[in-house]
Amino acid sequence: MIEREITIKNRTGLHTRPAAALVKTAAGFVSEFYIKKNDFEINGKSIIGVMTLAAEQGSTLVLTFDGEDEQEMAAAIVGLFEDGFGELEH
Amino acid sequence: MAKQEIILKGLPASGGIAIGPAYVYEREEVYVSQRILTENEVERELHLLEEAMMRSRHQLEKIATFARETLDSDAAQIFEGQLLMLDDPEMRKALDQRLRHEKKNADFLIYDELKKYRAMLNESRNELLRERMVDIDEVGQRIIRNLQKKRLHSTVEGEHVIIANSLTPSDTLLFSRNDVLGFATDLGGITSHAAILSRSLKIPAVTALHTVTAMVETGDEVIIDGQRGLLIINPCDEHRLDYHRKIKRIERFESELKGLVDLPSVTQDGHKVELSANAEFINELEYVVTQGSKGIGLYRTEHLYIEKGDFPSEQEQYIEYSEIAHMMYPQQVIFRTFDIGGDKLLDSAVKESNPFLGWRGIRMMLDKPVIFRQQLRAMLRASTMKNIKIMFPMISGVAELREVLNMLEDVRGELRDEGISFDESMQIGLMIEVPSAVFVADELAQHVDFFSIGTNDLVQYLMAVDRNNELIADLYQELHPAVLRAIKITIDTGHRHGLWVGMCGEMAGNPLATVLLLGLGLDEFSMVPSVIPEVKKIIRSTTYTEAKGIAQEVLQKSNSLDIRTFLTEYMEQRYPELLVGMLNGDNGVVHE
Repeated sequence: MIEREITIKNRTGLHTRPAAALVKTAAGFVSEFYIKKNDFEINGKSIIGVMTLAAEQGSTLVLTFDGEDEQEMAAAIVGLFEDGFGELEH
Repeated sequence: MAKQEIILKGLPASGGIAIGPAYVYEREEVYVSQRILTENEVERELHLLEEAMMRSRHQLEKIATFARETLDSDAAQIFEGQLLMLDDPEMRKALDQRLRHEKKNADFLIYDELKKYRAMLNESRNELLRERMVDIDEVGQRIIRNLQKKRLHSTVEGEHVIIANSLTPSDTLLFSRNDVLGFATDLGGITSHAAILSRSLKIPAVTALHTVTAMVETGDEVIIDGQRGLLIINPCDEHRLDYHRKIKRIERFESELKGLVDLPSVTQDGHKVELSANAEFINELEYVVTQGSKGIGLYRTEHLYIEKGDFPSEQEQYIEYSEIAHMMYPQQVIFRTFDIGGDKLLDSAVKESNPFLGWRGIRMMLDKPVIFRQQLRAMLRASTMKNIKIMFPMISGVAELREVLNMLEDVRGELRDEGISFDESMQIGLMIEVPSAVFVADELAQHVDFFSIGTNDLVQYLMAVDRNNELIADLYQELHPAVLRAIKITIDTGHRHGLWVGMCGEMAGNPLATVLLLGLGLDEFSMVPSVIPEVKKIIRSTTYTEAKGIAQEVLQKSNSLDIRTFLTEYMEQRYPELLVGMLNGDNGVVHE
């Protein structure tokens, strides 16, 4: 199992588009993927879950990846967050 | 006796004005009742749920396709999101498990799950997220309707202003296929998906009217003013006349714009400039032409890399570039070589602490000569019709430019050796977007045929401000004197060396800056196609002499607030009808 802590960089937080990008990327891997904010944990492959997380810019999230392709999945997902979901400039 | 006039103030969610009869739309509520299933019914219910899911997916995909074909990508994205909600694994898991264990009917369980999500989202302090519950609700209700084999009627005969408690994304889109004049809702904000869609569909909308559904009856005459966020119910004669006049003015202006498509962008005293479009996808080109553009001033090639997840081959690029050249012929297309890095897709192997000051644009390409040469070869090969130009992003000085040009020369030699033909006189240019390039423009100009000012990056680098950083976003000022002086230096230096100078940043399409840029001597304006008619209208209504005077006056001013105020007042006086159009495009609304 891999655990990573990240901070949300993009201004609008995990709103519809980033949430969709996240869920779509996660769907490409077989490993389980959970996101924890404070004490609230959701399935990272569930868009409704990601939205109810209400994660805004500056929120710190703990991501866990568990499964056979956890390495690749962690790299891809963490990359999305670090890239600010391509929203750092428009 | 005539009914009393009532004026309600809400939020201006989408610009435009309309007068017409109201239609109070009540979405048929879905009703569910709880049933306990027998053992035998459980499997059948699971099967029915699966079927309803499939039908819902099919319907949503149809809507999404319609949206993709008729709207911008931000708006179309809304329905992609709903498709993901429909296939949400957690919702599906909960439904399946509860159906098996609690043995309750599927429509009740969906209703119950929705209640749970609503409770969670309502806890959020973020209004934007609370608004998104509308999307989730709509998906859930869609499945319930399909389970109950009920159909939704989002249609209305004849021209009406739709009055509703709230509108879902699908309501908005489906109504738009009828003759809808406008939308007025009790709920919703400026960032609700229905609002975003209304703007994209260019249908006036006013939201957050709170009590409108209680105050209007179907058939009442209403005026919807999407500019100011007003809904006037049973207007008095004076207001009706007033608004009829406003509508006339807007219509006249819009038909005037349409009439401009085939006319040249020339001032009244005969000074001609080029108006061209920024583009990045082949399917945009048709629209570009209908907007009266003279070619493509910036064709971004990064999407080839992004779509593939890797650099495309020379042949793949050649096919795309020549298709574009053919489609636009005889007009010109300026291709920009890959500008990857910064915000635009980071090579995941490289983590930079400051990507905007890092490995991007030409810097990355010079480190990847094999890939860069492939792109140059593809562009040269596509140039046989002599309507292609190449420009390089992020050039910061002469040494870099020399390296690029040496490589280009090398590739040309290679093609000649192979007997492959290309345009030997093709124009080469560079983007002026790194501030250092402004100060060595004299030296750079000696090696190229044109400059294109990339204002988005130039402003960000000159002002040292990341405009997505809310704390300092107000420092991102296109009209800052430093920015204007950098533009002036670039244009003057280019002209001194016989170059033409264009601009492909957002500023080129900002109507507020048109006369100023014209007066500074800009030769080419490249912008999003939709604003070309407005900019052309401004240029055709002024003289070069007047524009030079305005530029002169602006350059005397020491801060951007004064400049903005001066230009706004000038535009309001000179082009009063234009501000209507400008408000539509730039009303400070946050686009998601």
